[in-house]
Amino acid sequence: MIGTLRTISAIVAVLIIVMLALSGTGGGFVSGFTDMLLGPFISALAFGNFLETAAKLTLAGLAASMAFSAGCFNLGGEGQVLAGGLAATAVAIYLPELPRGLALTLIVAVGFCAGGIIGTMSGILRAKWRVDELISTFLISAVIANLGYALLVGPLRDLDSYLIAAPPLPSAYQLLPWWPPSRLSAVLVWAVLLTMATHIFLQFTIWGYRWRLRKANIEFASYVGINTASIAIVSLAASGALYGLVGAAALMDSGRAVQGFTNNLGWDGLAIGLVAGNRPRWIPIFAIVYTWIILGAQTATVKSGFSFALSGLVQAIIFFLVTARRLEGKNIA
Amino acid sequence: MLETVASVAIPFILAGLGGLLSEQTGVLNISLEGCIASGAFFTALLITLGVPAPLAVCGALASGALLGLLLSGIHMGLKANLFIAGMGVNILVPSLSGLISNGVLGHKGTIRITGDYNLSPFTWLMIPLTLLLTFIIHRSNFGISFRAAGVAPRFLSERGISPNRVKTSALSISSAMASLAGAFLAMRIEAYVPGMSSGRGWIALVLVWLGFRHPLGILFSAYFFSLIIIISNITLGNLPFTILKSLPYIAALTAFIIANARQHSATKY
Repeated sequence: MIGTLRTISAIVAVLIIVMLALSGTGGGFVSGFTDMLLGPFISALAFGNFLETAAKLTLAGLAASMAFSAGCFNLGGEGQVLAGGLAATAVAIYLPELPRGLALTLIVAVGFCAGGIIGTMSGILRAKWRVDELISTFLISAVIANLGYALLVGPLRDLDSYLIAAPPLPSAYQLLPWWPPSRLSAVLVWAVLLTMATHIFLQFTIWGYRWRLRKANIEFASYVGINTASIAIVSLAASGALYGLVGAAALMDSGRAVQGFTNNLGWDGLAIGLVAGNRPRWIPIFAIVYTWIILGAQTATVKSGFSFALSGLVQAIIFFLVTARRLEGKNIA
Repeated sequence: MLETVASVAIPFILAGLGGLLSEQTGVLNISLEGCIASGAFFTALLITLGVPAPLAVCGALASGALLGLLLSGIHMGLKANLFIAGMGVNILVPSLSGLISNGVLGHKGTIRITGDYNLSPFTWLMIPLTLLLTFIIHRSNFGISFRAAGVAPRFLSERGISPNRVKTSALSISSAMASLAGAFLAMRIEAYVPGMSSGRGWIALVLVWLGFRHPLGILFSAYFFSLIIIISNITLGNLPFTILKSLPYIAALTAFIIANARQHSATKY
């Protein structure tokens, strides 16, 4: 199966790197590895948080995958997640008295639209002037990251807090925790439903077919009359919108927009989306494995007193290997 | 004022010329940003460990060259997507430097270095360096091989030169030049600060296009860009710092749009 060997290679390489990193920690390899494997299951709190994180990463992976499925790349996830979260924050701050149902619908819709608008910008640049979306999504995201920080230290800042943060969300805007004290919430349902919706859209609709054809052979797709430019716009808009939704979920998860609340979700989503490649239906599985490795390794490194950001290493290995055509053993001229 | 502009432009020129070398061989070095960070980190780390500054800069150059080799191995050896692999390098460097810093120095934050480094001789050295590179690219066999690797690799193969080897050399030199830019930055502010490359690698890539893919064009674009940064710092001083930090990315995006609009006035796909 095309891509399987790449995926396996990436996962094996990631595990080797994680094992090497863990063996360098104070507690020793066996203890570190055991802590990593059992980390998400040591308590109901850890397991609930593990599921919630995996659900958010599933959404982020689906966001990246929406662009890949049409042959586009969206490297602007970080900015789109932040935009979604901050737009949702602004709504909560300026309309604090809304009834719960309306408040939740609005916050999700605003996050969705904010990310979608940013994705659309890169889509239009691609369609209109063929500006490579790899570069435009990243550069726009970098601008959003700086502007977002300016908003957090400026108009949105909670002056009563010592943190660089917006005020806490009013209770009407917060998702009810399903399994207190863990953060597990309805985001899990969103992740399941959107995975199914994405799969049905890409595999069983004429629009999904056109997206896949654009990815498989853009010149042929154009030749047979498919409007490849508009597909680029729509796929990047959908990708941005899903990242914006992740931003709203991250906001509701943390209860307020605090500096760093997006927590690298854009890059994590990209890594998961890349591993899944042409198979968005596998994204929840890869998201669970990814979350397991990252959260488990975090537990292990924190316990050994040698904490470090493992996610960057894991993402880099995935970025290096998942697009490697040589790993398929194909004859490449 | 002129000297300030020339000084601000140095990292852009070094990284931009590095970007041009790789672009000429048909493998655009997306990892310039990570290489700048790597150069700054290893310079600061080695100086902190007592290594003399010139040797520390050599260490930084070596780190860049190794990153170039890594990118080349992944792109040409494993046939991975160049952009994604380049982003992998950009993400790997901060993570790896945090890990090394934690292991060696016991912390992941700022590394301060003390030393009265006189960098002023380098300010105007960029002009002869650019002229030298112009000569190398356009007049030497070495430069012709570089350009041929990009436009006519079969021509090189027929002459017994491996295009992949030329591309690997280009990526290594390109990354080493970007890491030199990072070394210069660290020595100028006498510290390594995580995230200090601040988009300079991306701007360097933009300068390759703004400078019409010519070393002298890159030199003038870098000076022009630095002048804009300095003027905007003075005139827009009341704006929050974070908004000022967005300006290079906005400029970079604008340049990409203009460059693409010029090349592709008629949209096909």
